[in-house]
Amino acid sequence: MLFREDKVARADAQAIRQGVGLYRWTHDLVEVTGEDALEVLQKIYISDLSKVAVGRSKYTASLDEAGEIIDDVIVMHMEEGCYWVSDLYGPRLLPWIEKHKGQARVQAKLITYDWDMYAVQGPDSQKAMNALLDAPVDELKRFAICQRKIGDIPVYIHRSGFTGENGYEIYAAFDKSQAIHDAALQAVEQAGGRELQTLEVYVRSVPMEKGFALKQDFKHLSPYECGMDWAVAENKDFIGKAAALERKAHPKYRMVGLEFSRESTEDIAIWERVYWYGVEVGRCAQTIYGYTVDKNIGFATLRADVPDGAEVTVGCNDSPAVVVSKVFC
Amino acid sequence: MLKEKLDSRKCFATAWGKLITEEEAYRQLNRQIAAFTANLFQVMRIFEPSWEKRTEAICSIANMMNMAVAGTPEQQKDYVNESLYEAFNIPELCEKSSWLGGITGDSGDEWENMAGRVIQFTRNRVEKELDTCPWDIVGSELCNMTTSMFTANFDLASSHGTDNEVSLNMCQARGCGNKHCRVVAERRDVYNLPQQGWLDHMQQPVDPIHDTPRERMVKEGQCLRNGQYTQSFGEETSLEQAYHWVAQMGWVWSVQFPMMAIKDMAPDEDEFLRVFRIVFATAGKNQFIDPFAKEGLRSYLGVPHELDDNDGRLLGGYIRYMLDVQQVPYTMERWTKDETWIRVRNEDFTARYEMAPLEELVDAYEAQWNGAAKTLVSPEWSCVIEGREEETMYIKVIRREDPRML
Repeated sequence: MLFREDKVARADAQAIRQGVGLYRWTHDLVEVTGEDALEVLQKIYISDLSKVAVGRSKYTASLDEAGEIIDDVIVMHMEEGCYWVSDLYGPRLLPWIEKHKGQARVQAKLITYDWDMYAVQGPDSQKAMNALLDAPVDELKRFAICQRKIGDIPVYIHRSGFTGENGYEIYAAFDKSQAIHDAALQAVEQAGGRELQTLEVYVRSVPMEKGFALKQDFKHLSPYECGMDWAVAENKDFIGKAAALERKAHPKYRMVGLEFSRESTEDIAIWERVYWYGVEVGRCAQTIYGYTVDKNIGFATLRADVPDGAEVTVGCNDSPAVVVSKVFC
Repeated sequence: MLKEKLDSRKCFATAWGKLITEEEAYRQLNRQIAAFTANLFQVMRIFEPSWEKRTEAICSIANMMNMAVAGTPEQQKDYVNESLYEAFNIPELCEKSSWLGGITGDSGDEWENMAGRVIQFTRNRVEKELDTCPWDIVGSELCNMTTSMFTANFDLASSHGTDNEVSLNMCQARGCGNKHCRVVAERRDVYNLPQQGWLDHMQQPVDPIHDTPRERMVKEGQCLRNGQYTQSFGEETSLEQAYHWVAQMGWVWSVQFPMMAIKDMAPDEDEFLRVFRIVFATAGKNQFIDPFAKEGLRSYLGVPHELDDNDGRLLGGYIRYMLDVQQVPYTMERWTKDETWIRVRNEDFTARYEMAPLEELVDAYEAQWNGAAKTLVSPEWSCVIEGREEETMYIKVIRREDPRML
């Protein structure tokens, strides 16, 4: 829970929006290898991963048989026949692959404890990274991966992030984590930045302002109901495709943004009920204070016919909110 | 449509066919365990007049038991991984060197309908605020005891073993008449704070608190508001799962842990049981001393007007309802104007949490229901539990002369 007057959280958010911030956020990592790795990933994910060259990555999602999103991930093509899936729920991905691989020759293993990850995010992130690494990353494109060194430690640099700002992820062997942290912090501080203190700032507040959601925000939604239609490759087969296309034709819900007018939202937990003219029309996935927009904002899954501009109330104390786009700035 | 609702709503029927929803039953269970705890704590106050001594004793035992649950140092690592990392899915904050995972989200509170929120959550400070607590009738010894259990969680997650890396204060408590319960954990090294003893956990924190205004307080936990508890990182617990957890673990932390210390306060086991039974018998009599309490029960359970006030089934139906609420399986053996017999397996009644049977539940409920018989029905009626040494017990509501009534 974040509040307008939280100076530490505000400074964290400002570092990312106006300078550079460092934080450690180790997603689970699942390594998928084998002759048929691509075939299995194509079956599981909605995007066409055959177009992702070695050294590139793609944000995508997986669906259940009902066509609803069960996970969103970044698939990184590390080398021929080797993919890393950056996922918050790695231990659940492994049995899903096992269930759907059929006769395919593929191996999947959790490598979360082999590779630690630090994020360097913000408009000054490139400056900090160039000071940190043995060679600059000026030419590195978004959703691209390269190999570099920090001191004598080999690292992977992935130009990506979850902030809506330019940013990089550093992957290094877990036992080198402290050395990477210390070096990265020094580079970030020299670039005028700081190490972030407040988890909710970099996990929820900063991403939500830019419309970036977590897996749980997509509950009950098809990709077509949450603005992820651009990621769907309809020309290939994948789990849940038929049901998702049915939801494209006849959407049940839509994912929206909410702007709250009360000073704070202490009474709104995860998945709180949303009412329109007193009738329950959906659930509020989460609310948070956004320090760039200086408002309490949230994501909600509402009945498909609730329009932008609708005045709704949320939760047991009828917190008033207006339905808006889920990209707040 | 009725059919749809029947498919989606869970409930059970009272002896007279009134439907009690899962939500009502869950609410009642939490409060029932809290009331049992309140009775138990009166026993403690009789044996130990010093607030400080009894608080210290129950804190110590609760901390020790929480640590013991985690097992050997090697097993403790797995415990931390399972209960913190796997449950909360926040690897960078549930690393073995971090203490924060112990309070993050704090699902235990929400599962027990302690409604509230994590106000602040940083590497250096965590503030948790509750608006309600079913255990708010028990007294501040229990509020203190919960901090000793948190301390165990922090110590288990600590990189340095058990050296209390945080200063942990329940600086407000519903059980002390405050608007909120508020637990604040602040890193000792960052805030330059001394190590705490068991009686030092109700101090004020260093950083200012955030006080949620009354108009934004909530009256029920997420399970009742939203049908499930979802912590900040998306992990969900259904009302059914939370209810089942409380029906087992609620008895362990709030009754079994302190009872171990309270027994040590008594001169011997016999004296403990003597006072224990007296306290529960009194509580039972007081349950229905007011005429509106009887009327309320009749209305709530759907007792028909034809059933007169001196019919033992009034109490039999109440006991049956309480077994349903507490998720104790039973069989009705007799249900007449003259007697109620309810058959239960000893294990089902005493071992709500399989690993930790509580024999004293038989003494407590026999005394309480027997007391209740006197005011809910009449002094002609008694409740006895027979066969406590056998595999199967019988809870009987019968007419019986009782010249030495407790």
